[in-house]
Order: sequence, then C-alpha cells, then structure tokens
Amino acid sequence: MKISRREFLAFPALIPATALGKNGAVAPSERVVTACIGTGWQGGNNVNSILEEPGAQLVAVCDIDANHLKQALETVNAKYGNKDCVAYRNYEEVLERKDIDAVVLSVPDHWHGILSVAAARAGKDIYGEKPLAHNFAEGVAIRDAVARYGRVWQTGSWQRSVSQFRFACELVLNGRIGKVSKVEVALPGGLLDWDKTAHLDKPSPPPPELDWDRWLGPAPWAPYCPARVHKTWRWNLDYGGGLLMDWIGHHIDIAHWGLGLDNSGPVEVEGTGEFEKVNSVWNAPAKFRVFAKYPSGVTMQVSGGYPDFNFKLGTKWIGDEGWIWVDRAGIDAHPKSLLTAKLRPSEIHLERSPGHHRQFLECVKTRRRTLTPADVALRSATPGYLGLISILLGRKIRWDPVNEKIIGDPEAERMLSRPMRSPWRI
Amino acid sequence: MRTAVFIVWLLTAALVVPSAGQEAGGPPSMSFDEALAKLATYEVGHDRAALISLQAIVYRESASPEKRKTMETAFIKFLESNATRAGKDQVCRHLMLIGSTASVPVLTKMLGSEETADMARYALERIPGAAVDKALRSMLPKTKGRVQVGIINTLGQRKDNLAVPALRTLVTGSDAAVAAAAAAALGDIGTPQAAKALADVRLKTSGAVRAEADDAYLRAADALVARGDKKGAFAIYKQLSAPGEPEMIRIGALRGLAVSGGKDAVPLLAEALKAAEPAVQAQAIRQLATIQGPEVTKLLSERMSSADALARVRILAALSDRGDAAAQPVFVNALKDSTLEVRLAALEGMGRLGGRPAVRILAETAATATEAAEQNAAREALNRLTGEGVDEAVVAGIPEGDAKVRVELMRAAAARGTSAATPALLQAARDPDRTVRREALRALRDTAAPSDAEAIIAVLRTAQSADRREAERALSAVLARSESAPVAPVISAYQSETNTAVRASLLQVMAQMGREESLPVLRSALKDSSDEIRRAGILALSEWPTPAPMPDLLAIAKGDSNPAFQILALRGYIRLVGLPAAGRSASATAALLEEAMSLAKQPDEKKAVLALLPKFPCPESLKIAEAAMKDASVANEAKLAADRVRRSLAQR
Repeated sequence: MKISRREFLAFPALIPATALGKNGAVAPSERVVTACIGTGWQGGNNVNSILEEPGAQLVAVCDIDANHLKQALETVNAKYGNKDCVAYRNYEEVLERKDIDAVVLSVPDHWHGILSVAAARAGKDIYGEKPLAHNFAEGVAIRDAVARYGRVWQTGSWQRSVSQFRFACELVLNGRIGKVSKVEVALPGGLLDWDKTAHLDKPSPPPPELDWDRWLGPAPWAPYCPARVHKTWRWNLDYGGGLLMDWIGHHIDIAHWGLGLDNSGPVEVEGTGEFEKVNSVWNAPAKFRVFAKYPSGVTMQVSGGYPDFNFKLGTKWIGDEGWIWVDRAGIDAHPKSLLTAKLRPSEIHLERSPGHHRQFLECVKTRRRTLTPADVALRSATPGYLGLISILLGRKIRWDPVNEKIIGDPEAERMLSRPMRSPWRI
Repeated sequence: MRTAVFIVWLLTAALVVPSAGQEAGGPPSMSFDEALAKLATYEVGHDRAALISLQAIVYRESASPEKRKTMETAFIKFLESNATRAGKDQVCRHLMLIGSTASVPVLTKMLGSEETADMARYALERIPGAAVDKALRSMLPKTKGRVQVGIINTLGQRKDNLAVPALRTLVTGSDAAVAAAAAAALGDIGTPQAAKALADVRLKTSGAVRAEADDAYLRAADALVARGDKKGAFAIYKQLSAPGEPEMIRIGALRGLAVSGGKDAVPLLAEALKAAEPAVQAQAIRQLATIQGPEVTKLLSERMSSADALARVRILAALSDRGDAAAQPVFVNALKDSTLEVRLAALEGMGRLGGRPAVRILAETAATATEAAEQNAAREALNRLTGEGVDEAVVAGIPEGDAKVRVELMRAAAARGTSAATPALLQAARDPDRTVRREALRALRDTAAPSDAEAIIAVLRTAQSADRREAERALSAVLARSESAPVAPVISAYQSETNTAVRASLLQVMAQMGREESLPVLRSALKDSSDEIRRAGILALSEWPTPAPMPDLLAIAKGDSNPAFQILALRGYIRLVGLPAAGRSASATAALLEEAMSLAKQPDEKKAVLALLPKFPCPESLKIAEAAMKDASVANEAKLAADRVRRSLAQR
C-alpha cells in the first residue's frame, strides 16, 4: 500500500488521470502538486528539474513575461503529453489555487520578499531561489512567515545536496583539519552581458509581452530599458546584488555549513569593490572583496573577480592541521588522506540528499526541515548584505549576530531594508 | 561612457582588505555643489556622472554628523527647487540614508502628489524621529488610494503606535485596499494597542481585508511574545487556533501556542491532532515535537494507532527529531507497518535513537527486506547507530548465525570503521560460506590496520582462488592507508611463497603500495621463469605511482618475444609517460609519446597516446596528432587531439 496524497491533502479536487506523465511511475494522486512562478532562465531550469521529479506534478506556470510563460507551458505540455498545465500572468491566481501544495519561485531578488511571504500565507511550501531576499529585512520577513505558517522551505543553494560539498563540510565540522582559523571563498566577478543588452540602457517602451510596472513591483519607479531586465537585473542594486549576492547562497553558504554557522553570523564585515560600469544602470560592484570576522575569531575572506587564492573558485577552510578546498570542480585537501577518510558513527554526519528538488519534495511530505531552510539561508546571506553595505559606505560594519543588528552605525542600519513603492508591502 | 576601473589593486599583494574608504563608483569626479547643480536638470538616460559623484560623496560622508547636516540642508533646498523629478528622486534616495527631521516638511509636502509620494516615503520611512510619524499621520486624512496605502505601509514599517486609532478606523473603511493596508500595518506595529484594535475590528471585516486582519492579528501576537507578554499572546493564539478560523491562521496559531505556552499548549495541540484537516494535524505534530517531556512522546505514540499513513510518517519523523529514546518501541512496532513509507520512517528513527537494542533488528531487516529502499534504509540506520555497546553488538553478531545477517553486520562494521571487528572478520574470512568470506574480506579493508597485514597475508596465502582477489584488495587497502606501513612482510611472503597466483597477488599489492624497496622485486619478476609471474610483474610496474619503471616497460614493449607482453608493457609505459614528471618539458614528453606511437600496432594503444597529447601541448605533440590523422583507425581521435593541442597553444 502506498500513501495517497489525498490522505494528507484534504483538497477535494482530484488531479485528472490524464495528468499522469507519459512514463510516470508515481500516480498523480500521490505527487506533490507544484507550480513554478518565474519561468525565465533559472526559472526554466527549475521547470525542467521539477518535471524530472516523479514525486511532483507541475500543474501551473506563471510569469509576467508572456514569452517566458509560453515557452514554459510548451515544455510542461511536451513532457506530460497533455495540456493540463495552466499558465498565469499573476502569481496571486496561482496562490489562490487550493490544490497546489508547493511553489518554486525563480523571480528577481526584489520580488523574493513579497512573493515568498504571500506564498507562505497561502499555505504553499516553497522552493525559493537564492539569495533568500533582496535585503536583510525582507529576509527576516520571509524567515518569520515561513516559521509562522509552518511551511517547508528549500533555498536554491543546491550545493548542499552534492556529496563532495557535504563531505568537505563533515571533515571540517569533525575537526579533521584541526582548529579552523580562516576560510577563503573565491567567487567569479564581472557584470556579464549574457543577452548583449549592456548598451541598451536608455529608456524605451517596454515590449508588449512584459508587464513592466509589475516587474518593477516594490522597486523605485524607473523607465524600462532592456539592460534592466532578464538575467542582467542582478547588476542593478534596486533589483539584485551583483555576483556577491548571486553567489552568497553557494560558496559562502558552504563556508558557513562547514563552520557550523547556520545559526550565527559575523561580528565584523568589511568590503571593498570596483564599479566598472558606473555610468550605466548596472551599478553593482563588478569585483569585490569582503572580509568577515566571526565570534570564535574565525575569519572569512571572500574574493570576487580577483586572482586571489591561486585563481581557484570555491571554498577553502584552513586549520592548524590541514586544509580542505571544495568547488563544483572537485575537492582537495591536505593531508591527502583526508579525501578517503571515513566518519565514525559518533561524529557529525550531515544529511545526505537525494537531490535538491527531491529533498524538498520529501520534506513536503514529512514536514521536516530541508537542507537549506529560510533561517539558514538568511544566515548565509547576511555577510553579503553587510558586505554590500560596507562596500557602498566605505566603512567597516559591526554586527550583533544574536540580535541581528548593526552596532554603532545608525545610517548603515537604515540600509538593511528598502522602502517599497506603493501599494506593495510584505 | 566612462568605464574606468576606479580602484586599482595590487594583484600580487596578499589578500588584505584595504582600509575602508573606497567609494562606490570610485572617487567623485566633481564636487558636491557641482554635482548637485547638474542633478537639477538630470533626466533618466542622461549622463550619470553627477549622480555617481553625489552618491560617492554621500556614502563617504554619511558617518559625519556635520557633513550630513550640510548635505541635508542642500538637499532640502534642492527638493524645494524646480529641479527635475528624476533629480529629486535621487535626492530622496540620499535622504533615506542621511535625512533627519529637518527634511520632514519638504518630504511631507511631496507626499501629497502621487508622482512624488513614493520617493518621499522612500526617504521618510528610514528617517528616525517622532516628527516623521506625526507628519505621516497628518497626511492620512489628506490622501487616498495608492498614496494613502503607501503612507499606511510606512506607518506600519515604522511601528508607529500613535497611528493605531486612525488605522483602526481605516480597517473598516470603504476602500478595501486601504482597509487591508491598515490591517497589515496594525500587525506590523504589533503593540498591545494594535493587537486590541485588531481584536476589535477583525471580525467586522470580510474577504481580502479579513485575510489581512487575521494575518496581522497573528503577527501582533508574535510581537507580544517578542515583548515578553506570552500570556497575552497565548490567549490570542488560543482564539485563532479554534476550529472555524481559516486553516492557515489556525496553523500559524498552533505554532504560537507552542512558542508561548510550552507544556501548557499540549492539550490544545492534542486536540488539533484530531483535526479533520491534514495540514492542521501536520502542524500539531510538528509543534508538539518542539515540546520536551514524556507526556508528548506518549501522546504522539498513542496517536499512531489511529493516524492515517502519512500522519504516521509525520509522527515518526517528529519523534525522531525530538530525540527521545523512549519512543523506540513506536519505531519497532512501525517496522511491521503495511506501508513502505512508514517503515522507512521507522528505520530512520531507529537509526537515530535505537542504540544497542536496534543492532540485531536492523541487521535482520536489512537481511530480509524485499524492497531495495527498505534494505538501504536499514543499512543506513545500522551504519549511523550511536550509543553505548553498539559496536560491541555489531562485532558479537559476526561469528555465527544466519549468513545474511552476519553479512549485514560485517557491512556495518566496515561502514562504521569498527576496528574491534577485525579479529572476527579475519576468522570469517575463512568461513565455509563464500558470501560470508567475501564480505569479511571487503570489510577488512575498512576495519583492519597496517599492523594486521601479516594476518591478512596469511589469509591471502590460504585463500581459495575465488577469494584471492578480495584478499589482495583488502591487503592493498590496509597497507595503502599509511605511508609508513611496512612492506617487508609482503616482500618476505612473496619470496617464500610457491603458489604462483599468490605471488602474482603480492606483486600487485606491492605496486599499490608504491614503495621504493619493492621496485627491485618487481623488476626481478620480469625475469621470472614463470610467464604468469612475468605478466604480473608487467601489470604491477604499469600500476607504479611514478615514472621510475618506464625503461623496464619500454624494453619489454620493444623486444620481448611474447607479443602479448609487448602490448601490455606498452600500455603500462604510455600510462607512466602521462604521470607528472618533474623537470620534463612538454617537448620531451612528446618525444616519449612519439616513440610509443611508433611501437603501437593496435588502435587502442594509439588512442591512448593521442588522449595524452593535449596534456602536453607543444608543436611536437601537434605534429604527432596531425600525422596520426592519416591513420584511418584513429583519425577521429587524432583530429580531436590536434584541435585541443592547437587550442592550448593559441591560448598562450
């Protein structure tokens, strides 16, 4: 006997039998009914990832860009071999659907706060892209709403679901490199012009497929120009946080995981940056260095776009008995014997993931915490929020990681949140 | 367009964070006054030089009270001027950072216009002081629609308790958007007065406003907890958790009950366990799990018998997360559940909390499970078990009993790295049952120490041919674990052994160890009278971790009378050429590979050479690849290699 999803979801409407994928092994009634909100670029990747999960049924896609929406709908229909998936322009309609259990949010950072809190209030479990939020205060709002409404939250920090990252963190947590004194985190840099729109930064009429006012949402009003949207929105600080915030949920998240800092944060953060395209709507630092000091005395040096740390991207913990480096490209250590080390049962074992999306779907059923819950994602992102403030203000930020307050700099404190354009609020 | 890099870093310097003071956007190209004057005519899309300079100055000077005051005075005049809207928008951004109550009058005036209200609030929302609150409140009756909503939102963000009466009135007003915003703002404010206002008006609302008011009331209760008024909050949560309230509000309230009430919340949470809505049940389970004490364990355990399958999974997960070992009987019982997912959850819980008594149960489950998922879950649980006596129980079960259970216990000993299992495993390596022998030898790789080498050699020397490879692997793994592991016992065994197959295995072990003192032994094997030993010697030298045996292998590849040995040796030689060699240039390596290519008679060896060429990019490597392109049997591989070499050379 298998558990019927209808045993735990009291929604009367059953998914029609035709919703079963062409080769699906899991009956629709047992799947987590899912919607994807935001279907461009990373959103498209998430659509594909969900479609690959036998435990999920993707019943709705949503995007304020009609072209992205059309493409996503075609992808879903082709996969399932039917036309049951519904396309929406406005997320509110998706959240109103009682049959939807979970949403995958892949929208620009400045929309994370509003959308995530609304989804939590609507009772949806959430897979949300990193960074957790555009700014610290919105991250707090997400964390609190998710906790308040008992939602399952998985951040798109998928490296935690990859064995080499887990193993590296286990070695560090179990003292295999002795007492850790510092962590080096190397990130990519630059303001990458993926869509060749860098020069298109003068006001122009928004294309008909895009609801521009809604795209702006809570951000200060600005006229449309191609350089602001799609992929490169992250280079404007009204909408994103440059590569620093783009990667904060990856290698810095891993650095924190290995240091056991999922419930703590730095006491000092100091950053510097270079702004290569200052006379552009792309105003995020193209290169950056962020230095963070933690309560234990451990320091973290984040370098983005510089040839530091022998050009090797990734996270490297340095202890008094060795070091461990890990990246998507591999894992290395000194001494080498660490690479084949075995953990004893009594040592710290981090959770093994069956895959990042699948782990989320499993937690939707069990109601357990995921590998990357919202509160952890906020802790991982905090050095980035503070680092960005430090880069902009040109001064060191002191931080109280217990009360989560900036110490002794009321002006810097003001930058922890951004007022929203009416009528938007969290 | 200026695209200069403003901050020059010394790339060769060690990573040291420079002292603070690097401005966003680089050093200003114009003075504050100059930039502000240019900003007066700024339009979006124009040159941003003035914006950039101004931003850099404001950020840099924001720490100085005097400079803030000077800049603010200028900004106030700017906002009162006929400057462009785009220019004023920029100034509002700066006032968000450095503004004081001095800016309130001019910003308040801007609140009156839909065009400027948002950016005025952008500044006002973050400026401290009661004057801001007062100004915002004063504008409530003078505005409507979107502007009024914005002001309400800002009052909420500022947690202005004095705004509560006005907001309370607006919640029941005719404009639904305004009413919803007012309700939300009361939740943001979160004072006892705000909570009371919500209590008073919540039930007088409906639709979207009611939804907002419910959420706000819940948040207000959360705020009371944060203020230390758990009793007041508990009363609200109790009200909101009652059947009849919206499902999500009940769910939120259940968490509040646990947070504010602790054990006092147990009866209410227990009641919610029986709710018809599975989501409410799920939240009750999760919240109960946060409360310590045997009564909660008992409550959840008793609920198992009447819960549906998914609720049983959730109860088991919650019991496991709570970490109360008293729940173990529930897990044991659930192993017999008819639903696979429930059994898997029980196994996971056993792994966390089971302790010594769980060893036998888990081993038997792993041995008898018919579903792969269940077998894996049982193994994983067994591997993770902690507590006094667990390892002893694992070891105690190895010598005798059902073979399948013994195999599972040996697997567990290996996964757990239980060195105390080594004597039992050495004994089991001679067991009559082949599956037991094989698993014992595999487990020894992980449990045995280099000091156990002689005992494993003894097993190897007496092993049946079917087990010899496993014994060889076990010995290699154990000796490879330490650079100081003694190689002498292996050499000694090789020299005294008469069984050819055993000698061949020992040669392979020596190769895996890669110790200098065994190299002469391996070389001597090449001259052995037995072809089997010669072959083993070639294979062993091919596995050598350094290029040292290259001449030995090359000699065989060139001139051995046995063509099969020639091929084997050439393959080994090519592998060793590919190893890192200090001081050897790419060109020198290419010469070695060219010679190997000339000796290669079969496509496989040629392909092996071609695959190595891109690792040593140089004109000579390119020449070898290009020449091989004429050989139809490897033309594709040769072209690929040539392309890669060319690409590497071009990047230089």
